[in-house]
Amino acid sequence: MENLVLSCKDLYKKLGKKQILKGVSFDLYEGDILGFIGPNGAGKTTTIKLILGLQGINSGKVTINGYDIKNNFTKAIKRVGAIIENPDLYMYLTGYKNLELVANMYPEVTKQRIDEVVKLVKLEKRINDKVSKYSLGMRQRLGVAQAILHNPNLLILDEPTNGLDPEGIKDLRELLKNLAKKEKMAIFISSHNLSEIESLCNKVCIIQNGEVVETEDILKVKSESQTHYEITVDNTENINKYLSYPIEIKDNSKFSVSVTREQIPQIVKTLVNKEIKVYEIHEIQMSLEDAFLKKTGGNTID
Amino acid sequence: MISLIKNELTKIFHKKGIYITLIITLVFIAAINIIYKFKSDSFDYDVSYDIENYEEDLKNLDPNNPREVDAYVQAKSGLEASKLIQKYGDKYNWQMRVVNNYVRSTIISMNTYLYESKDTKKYEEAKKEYEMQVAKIDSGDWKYFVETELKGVEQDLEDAKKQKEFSQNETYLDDEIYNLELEKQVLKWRLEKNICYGDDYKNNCLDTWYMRKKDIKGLKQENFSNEHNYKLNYQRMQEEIAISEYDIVNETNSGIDSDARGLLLNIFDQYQLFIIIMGVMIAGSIVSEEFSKGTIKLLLIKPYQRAKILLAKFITSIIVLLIVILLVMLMQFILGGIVQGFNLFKVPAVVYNHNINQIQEINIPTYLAMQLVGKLPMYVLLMTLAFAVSTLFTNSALAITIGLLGYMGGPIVNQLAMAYKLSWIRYFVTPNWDLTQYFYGGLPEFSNVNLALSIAVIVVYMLIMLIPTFIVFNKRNIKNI
Repeated sequence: MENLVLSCKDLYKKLGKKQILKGVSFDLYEGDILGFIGPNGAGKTTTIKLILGLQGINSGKVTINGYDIKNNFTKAIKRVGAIIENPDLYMYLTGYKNLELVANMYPEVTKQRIDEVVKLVKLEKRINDKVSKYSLGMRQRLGVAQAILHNPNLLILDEPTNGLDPEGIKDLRELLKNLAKKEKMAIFISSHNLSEIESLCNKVCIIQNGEVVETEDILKVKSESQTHYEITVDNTENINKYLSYPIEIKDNSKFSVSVTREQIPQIVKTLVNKEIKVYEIHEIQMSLEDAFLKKTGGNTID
Repeated sequence: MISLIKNELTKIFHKKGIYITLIITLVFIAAINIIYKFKSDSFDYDVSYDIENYEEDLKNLDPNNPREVDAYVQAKSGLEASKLIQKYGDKYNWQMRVVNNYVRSTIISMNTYLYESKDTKKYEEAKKEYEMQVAKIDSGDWKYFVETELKGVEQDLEDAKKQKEFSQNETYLDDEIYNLELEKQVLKWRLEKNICYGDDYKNNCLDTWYMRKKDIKGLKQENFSNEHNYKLNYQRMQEEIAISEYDIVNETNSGIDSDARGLLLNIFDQYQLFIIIMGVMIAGSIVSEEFSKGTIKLLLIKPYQRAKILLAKFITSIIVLLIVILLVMLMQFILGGIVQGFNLFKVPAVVYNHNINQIQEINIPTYLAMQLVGKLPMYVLLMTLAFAVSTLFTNSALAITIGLLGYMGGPIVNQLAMAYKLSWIRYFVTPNWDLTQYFYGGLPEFSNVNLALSIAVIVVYMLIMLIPTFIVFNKRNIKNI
């Protein structure tokens, strides 16, 4: 069993009259990358703010590295790095000065460590420019740099892919995977964009209307749902009559069917018996997004 | 904690705002010093206008007409005196004063003898007197006229004293003797210290000394609504007399407040607005700016208690205030020195100590340090106000505006309280926040405050503003920004 880094138990939060969180619970272990997924307004950022102690918790408990965030804030937050919403940077300072400000607040961070992190996020060339001259992608990278400067074992990223181009997303993905693997960091990423997270996370937590709908390993989420098979034939006109499985006719040569692997030979046999020519059968990989949409039943927000 | 303060200082001194304000201050200080340097003390007096008028009058007057001869003599004498003044320049100078006080009457006698009484012998005598006076002026011998005046005063004094011997109960004679003694002293000083007639600082000292000496004697007869106002007035007069006398006797210029040294000593009056604007600007934006830029989140997820972060910001504001004050002092010292010469700063600050009833010389750095201590509560209170508003409402503009309003409102509140005789005002902050009023045995503006009360009021107001600020900041939910 890996070490438990972050644990949220039954978090409730009310802002004004609106109940934002209604009992959010999940655990995060060392080396895990958790995708925290939900539509806009589901309570992702609020959950993150409760975890980081930026907002008070109405009821429930957040424990980081064994310390309660409410009663033992400084110890709990000591090994946490985060970017909330946009990277919080001082635009009128250089990238390096920004990192220095952070370094000053952690006595253990040395100058070498700053240089090391700058290299890690590939900002060596522009680190002495003012942040106001940075592109969004560079700001994001500098944000990551300041979040990991003090060797945290929990990294919390709120919508890190916002505004990044595909190249930037790819770089960030590589960087985060590296961090999780090499530094044994637990990473918590919130996003509404599933496809970007999919290839990165090994765990997923789906939140909707302030409630956790599902917490699972990614592979499990996918495998639990029935698989689709697309079958190409010469004629789809009377398929409905021959097959009793749920099928979807796409055009006059293709249809898809949701069945288990074991049922495929039976389907082929039926089709052949009815003298329908079967040209091709292939399995359609279900994306996380499809799985997610299935779970949540679309993007409805209170 | 120290690293937090260091970080805050880094942030502040990398922003442009503070430098822009400092540069404006610098320009202002340079301008003030230059203006005061070239400001001429004497004003111009245009006699050519008088001359035209007299000439116009003379055209219509006939000296042979017995009804007009008197007016003719007046106009003619006026014309001659004015021409004489013109000869010595149109400036208000000692020659003008001597012509007006002495020569003019001689000219009038001359013309009276010439046109009215037609007494040639007396006219010749007067003319001789006139020529002698003009010769004295030409040779620059102003002392001659002082001596003449002194003789007159001494004569009057002797007469008055004799008169006093015969009638013992005449108080008006006492007053007259007192006044004549003062006049005599002024004239003696003129001779001893070489103070020519004019309107420069030394003449000012003589005038002030003379007037205040007279006033202070009359003060007892005046009716004061309360004892405190009487004492306050008495203190101020005593101070003016002592400092004037000090400067006359020692031939110094310590009382001038418009030279580079005077500007430095009065730095908290001259440049107070700049100091307060900068202080309030820093204190009013140090917290709210983090909120408006979103960087507060970065700050609050670091391993420090929120109270510590806020305290670091408050301390930083005060450190920046002190730096700003030092810079303003330095700017005045350097710019003033360049414009008016550094030698000025060799003269120490001169204050009147009411505790020992004596003039006290204090070296300039010590004096400035004491002033700073006395003024600091006011600055810190205004900054605390801006800081509290900034933290509670996370709005820099509001915080800075309220801080500045507090500064401008202070004197208004005090005046209202004075006008309506509100005694509870002693528990309000404005009559208490300037501790310099107690320095050197001075009496406060309000009769019912004292140093201990003032310090208590200052501390209580600070706490009233800071405690809610810290509580709210500690509990605050950081919303989406």
